[in-house]
Amino acid sequence: MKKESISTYIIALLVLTSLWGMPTRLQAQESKLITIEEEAEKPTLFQGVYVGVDVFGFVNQVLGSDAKTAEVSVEANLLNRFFPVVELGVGGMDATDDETNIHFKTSAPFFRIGANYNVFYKKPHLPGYFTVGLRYGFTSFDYDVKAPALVDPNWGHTEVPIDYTGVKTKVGWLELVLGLKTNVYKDFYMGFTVRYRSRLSMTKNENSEPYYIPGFGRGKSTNLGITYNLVYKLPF
Amino acid sequence: MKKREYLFIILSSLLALLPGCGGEAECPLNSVALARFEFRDSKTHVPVQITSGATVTGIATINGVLDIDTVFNQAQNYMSVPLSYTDKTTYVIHYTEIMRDTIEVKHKNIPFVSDIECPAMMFYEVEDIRYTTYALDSIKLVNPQITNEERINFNIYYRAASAD
Repeated sequence: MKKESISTYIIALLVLTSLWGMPTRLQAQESKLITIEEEAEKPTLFQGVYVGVDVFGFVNQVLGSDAKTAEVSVEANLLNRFFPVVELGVGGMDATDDETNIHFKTSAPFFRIGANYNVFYKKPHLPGYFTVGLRYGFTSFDYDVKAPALVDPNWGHTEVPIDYTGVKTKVGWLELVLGLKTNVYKDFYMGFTVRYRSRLSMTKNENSEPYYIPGFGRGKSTNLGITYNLVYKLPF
Repeated sequence: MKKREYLFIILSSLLALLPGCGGEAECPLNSVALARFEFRDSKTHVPVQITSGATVTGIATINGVLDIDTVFNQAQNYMSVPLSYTDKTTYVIHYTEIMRDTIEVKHKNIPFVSDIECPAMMFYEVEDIRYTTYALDSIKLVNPQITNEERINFNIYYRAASAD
């Protein structure tokens, strides 16, 4: 029988005996030895919490984008392998197209929940993480659309105004995430993620579709997104 | 700092400088919503052409005044015609000088904005249809949604002798 199997067998026995309140001195000593051995071999379950801020939205805005995004993420490190994550943010846009003169405005919070998987979990000596992950994102928001009146080209040039305010919409989506994060100084990390987003659901409105969806981006069925994160590992 | 970290920082900075991933809008090539009527034989339901000299005029009442426009004059087995921005559009199919049929379509107008980079469009939902039966036999509503997507909205059935 292999050494690991014996250890497992002994641990199981020890757990059972401890549950029954009948530990023996010999068993206790063996347990201590095995625990020390396992600690040396296996990584600890909980290895810290990371809090990140996305600065890509800010940079994008400086570079001339109409979209405004700010988001934070909280991520736990389990076994240096699994990273459950929650991302919260606010996204908005207030834009008028020069050619069509159509105006769109929205601002709303969004959230994403999911997990990352560290591909190089067997190499804890590396100064960072290369991860693949999945997110479910959701936002509920109102938007305004205002456009020049439509003019009937055939009969009498009848005008129909377009001015919709407070159009309520809910959108859910899925993200496939590739990420890289590296330690730059003490407990500070920085990294980026590239995200392929696919819309799962959207409330249909008779007169319009949202031009921009907070947390998702342009209101198409699929989208590509980037986040650039500054991350701090909490000291516990 | 190790080589790998420098490489990472350079790559990250390059990525951060990439422009937003929004891309250009893909506006539809056709932004006009037309009602499509297919002409069919009432018995066989096979597509037929109406008399080659036929003309279709559309009529809308704007502020109590009738406004008439020729909207179709081709010999085809279908016609795609515009609707007015009022709640009713009337079409008169002139087969000959004296033979004609009138089709009255009641509709709801639906202004639609899909993208601020693309022009707004007017869509329609057919609420009711009434018609005369001098040459035509009947009209069946196939799809009440009239959008910029080309699809059959009505089938007009003609008795065989009436068709060309």
